[in-house]
Amino acid sequence: MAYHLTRPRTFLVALVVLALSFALTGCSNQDVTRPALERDVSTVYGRLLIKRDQTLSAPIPQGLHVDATCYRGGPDQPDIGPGKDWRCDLHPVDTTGALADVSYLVIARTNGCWSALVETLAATAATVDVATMIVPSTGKSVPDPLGGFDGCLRA
Amino acid sequence: MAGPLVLLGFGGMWFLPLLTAMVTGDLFSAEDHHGTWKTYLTRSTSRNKVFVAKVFAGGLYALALVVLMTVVSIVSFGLRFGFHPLTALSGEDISPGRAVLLVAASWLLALFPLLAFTALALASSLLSRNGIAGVLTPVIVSFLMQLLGFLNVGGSTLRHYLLTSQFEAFHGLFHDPRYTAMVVRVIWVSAVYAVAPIVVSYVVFRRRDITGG
Repeated sequence: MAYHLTRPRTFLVALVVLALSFALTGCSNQDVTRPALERDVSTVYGRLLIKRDQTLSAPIPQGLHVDATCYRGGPDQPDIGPGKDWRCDLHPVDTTGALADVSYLVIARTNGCWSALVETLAATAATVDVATMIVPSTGKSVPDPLGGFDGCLRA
Repeated sequence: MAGPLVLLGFGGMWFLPLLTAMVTGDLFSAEDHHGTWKTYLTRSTSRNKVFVAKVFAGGLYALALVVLMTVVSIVSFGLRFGFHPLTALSGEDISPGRAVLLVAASWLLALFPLLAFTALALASSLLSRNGIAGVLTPVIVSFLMQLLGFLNVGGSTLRHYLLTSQFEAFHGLFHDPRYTAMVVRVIWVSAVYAVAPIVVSYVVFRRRDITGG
């Protein structure tokens, strides 16, 4: 009888140990981390900045480098894990010097994907989902790629 | 070319497991329901052949589903919205031709977790002898896995190995540099999820008493 009970018990214990190890390692293992987000947001922003300038026929920034500082809201909130309260301050620099700084509100999801919305736009409820710009050559209004953009971290 | 990817993202979450379960969840249990096992297995065919044929039919259905979704989504979205460059997840533009190839590759990646859900549907159909259980089990498993992933239970460690997370592996194709680890993981994780129910089903099917059904 004791023999028959051993196997289910062992299985149950193994299952609990497995669940606990997942839960414990899960606390420290997150795809969404500050360095990963800073690296990805700055990369995407830099590429979209060049794309926007190409669309506007504006001078393309040479030797562009974007520094990003990302953090979550509140001093008690550690800068790790998915959430709606991430913010990234971007500081683009090219060979001519510093370009205009810009801040984005970032929603980071559990699957490592994120959405960034430029702070000035996010503050205006009426235009929360559309940022447009006028293309001088055609006079047409087109979406501004820097108004809001998405990306995915390595997951 | 973003449309087919939206469809794939939504499909992986909601309707792909359901679509495969609706057909394959009844492949074994229908024989129990109609009492036709004896008809098959007293003829000159073996249990092995019947089992392999049904598993093969389930896999073929999943493959047909993915091919159909790939072709229809690319053609319909292309005709409706045109073939334009696609902005990748890392900000660069992808040419329309390359975007079509990457979209097709994305759907191909979705085939692996879909085959695993098919295996789950086949197993639940065989083990329960009930078509409703065969259809509902993969759907419920899918919902539970999505819930675990959404609530971030176990952090990224657990999430990486959920079957539903494998539907998102295509993200790795649209990033420069590519996230190849995601692409490799979708294959072996899905294989583990697929092999386990098939092996259990095979063992049960080999030993099953069919004289009463």
